[in-house]
Amino acid sequence: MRFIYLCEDQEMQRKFYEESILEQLRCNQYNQLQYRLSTDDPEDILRDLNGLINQSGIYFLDIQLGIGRLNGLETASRIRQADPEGLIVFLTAHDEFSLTALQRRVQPFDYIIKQDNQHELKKIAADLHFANENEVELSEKKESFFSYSMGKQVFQEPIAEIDCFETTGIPHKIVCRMENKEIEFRGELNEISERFPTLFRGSKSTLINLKRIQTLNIKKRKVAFVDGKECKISYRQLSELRKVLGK
Amino acid sequence: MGSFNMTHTILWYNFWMDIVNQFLTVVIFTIICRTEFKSRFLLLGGVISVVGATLDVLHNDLGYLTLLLFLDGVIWIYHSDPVATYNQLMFSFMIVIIGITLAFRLLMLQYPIFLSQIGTYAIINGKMLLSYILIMVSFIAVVAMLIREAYHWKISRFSAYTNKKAQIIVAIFLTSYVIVIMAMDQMALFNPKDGVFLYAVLSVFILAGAIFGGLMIYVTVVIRRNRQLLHEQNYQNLALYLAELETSYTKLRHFKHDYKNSLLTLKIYQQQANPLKVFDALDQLINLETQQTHEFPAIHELDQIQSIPIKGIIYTKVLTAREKNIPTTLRIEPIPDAQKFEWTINEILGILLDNAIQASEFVGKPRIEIIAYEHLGVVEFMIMNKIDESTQSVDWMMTSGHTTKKSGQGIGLNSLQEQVSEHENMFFSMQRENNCVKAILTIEV
Repeated sequence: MRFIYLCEDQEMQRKFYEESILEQLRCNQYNQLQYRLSTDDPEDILRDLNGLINQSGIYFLDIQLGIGRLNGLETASRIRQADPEGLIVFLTAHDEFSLTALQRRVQPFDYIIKQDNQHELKKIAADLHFANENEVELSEKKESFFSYSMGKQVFQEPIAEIDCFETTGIPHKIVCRMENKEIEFRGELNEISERFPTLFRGSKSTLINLKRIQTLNIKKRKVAFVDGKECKISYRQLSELRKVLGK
Repeated sequence: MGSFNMTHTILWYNFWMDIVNQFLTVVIFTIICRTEFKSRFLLLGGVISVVGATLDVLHNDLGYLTLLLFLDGVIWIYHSDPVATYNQLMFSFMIVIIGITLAFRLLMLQYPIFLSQIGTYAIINGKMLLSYILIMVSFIAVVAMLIREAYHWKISRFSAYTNKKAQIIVAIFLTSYVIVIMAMDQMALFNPKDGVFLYAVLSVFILAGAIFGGLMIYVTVVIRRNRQLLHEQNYQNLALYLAELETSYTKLRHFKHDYKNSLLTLKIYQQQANPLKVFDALDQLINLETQQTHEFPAIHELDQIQSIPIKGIIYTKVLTAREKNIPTTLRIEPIPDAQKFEWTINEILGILLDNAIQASEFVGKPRIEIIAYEHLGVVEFMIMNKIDESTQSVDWMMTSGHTTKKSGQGIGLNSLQEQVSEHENMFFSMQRENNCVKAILTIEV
């Protein structure tokens, strides 16, 4: 069971979202979802969460970017701490350019951009449907995430999108290569290898995601990933890789 | 330097030994410098110097010891100076030192008899000082020539962070060390039974102390000078900041005026019960708000950063972007720990923002967004800018040698990454989403 929370400071808008959510629950008979609380004060949600144990939610939060402090973000961060598995949906008047920058910080489930009612209704319906139908799928999805920490913050990247991990030449600094991302973080290849045994040790300094390999160039000892990137394989590991790939 | 009565064979032997030692030192220093923490690096550098110097002493060649210690000192300067973080520059400087060594050795090989004659002549006539001055003038001339040549190379960047006074202090100390060493060497020559090694050990201690003291003064001067420059820059930034606040305030007054007018118009249309006109007026209001948000970057957000240098660099670049008609948005949350890394991060931020501005000049509807926050022990600076759809992937942007700038105008992301790698608590990431690229600098505090 997942609780539904709504936080919006504009009363008119809050009523609109509340009615939309309740309407969706009525029409679709979502048995995995329960409407819990709507408020204009984020503290109400946090207080409610403190009293719950092992309960996750879907949170529709208004985020007031550009006016004063990023209160919505702070709320989302605190919710993320209290409910790491919660689905956070931002309600915002800002465009995607601004929002994509904030993704890293709280990793929201979705954004609903306040532009017209029909669009908002569709998004709310889709998010609620996903939350209800994909409980099982979501838990499986979580296991397939690579997480790393910096400071006390934890970041996540889906394993399915990672090409490889490489050492940087700097002790304890690893780079994770993805199709459109290169992320540097503190870590050790051995530790990652232990956590994700399906990754293949291409050389002393690389861990390769076998599922992302498109071609293997035996002569040049290089693998090409589905996104066109390449990675060098050590001489010693080449025969092992050929065995694994069945070539 | 060295013993004037050495045979030619021994000179050649020492010559090649020195080259091998020097190159090994350079290689080791370079590797360590790029990978290890400062204090460990210095410790190892010191050990290598002492071992190398002792080996040279056993060859009765104290001149090389001076150069090696001086080299050690130069590296120490680079790692004490909070501004100069150029590994490449350090490497090039070490090559200059190798050049000095080689030049001096060649001089010795070319004119051993000449130098020996001068020495003998001077001793016989009781004019040792004159002979030392002659040799020193030759030595300084070689150094000066090399520095002059190197000045047009990368060393000019080093000079930018020093001042004349500091350079003179170093020159005086270097000269003093060489004279002391030569005197020691000369004494040993006349009293071989007293043992060269004893004098050498003594000279190692004297020189190490002298170099340490001299470099302390030098570094203090450099730091003071850099701080002075930074303060001057900050005052200029502050003046700009105040001017901008005034402009912003005037714009805000205009905005309020326009907004009020639009609301009044809306009220009139509503009274007239004209829904089409009401919708038009509402659209105008929305457009007015959007336009103002873009024209009017929230400069006051910079107050959240508790560091004048960081505030200054962001503000200067925001103004540059605005001059180029690139809308820039700031979203900054409080960063109380900003002062902990302000010295190291300032240049990196400058490069990132320059890159974003430069890339924005080539896209249709440019936009830059600067986000900074401190949260759960992490400070993050995110710089987002729009890019052309045809721009290559992230890994291409990070490839060595690639730069988004025109020839000779700064460094690319790969070089920036190298700078970040010098700090073990700093991480650099790049992301591309559709037509937008996001550079993220993460600092653990």
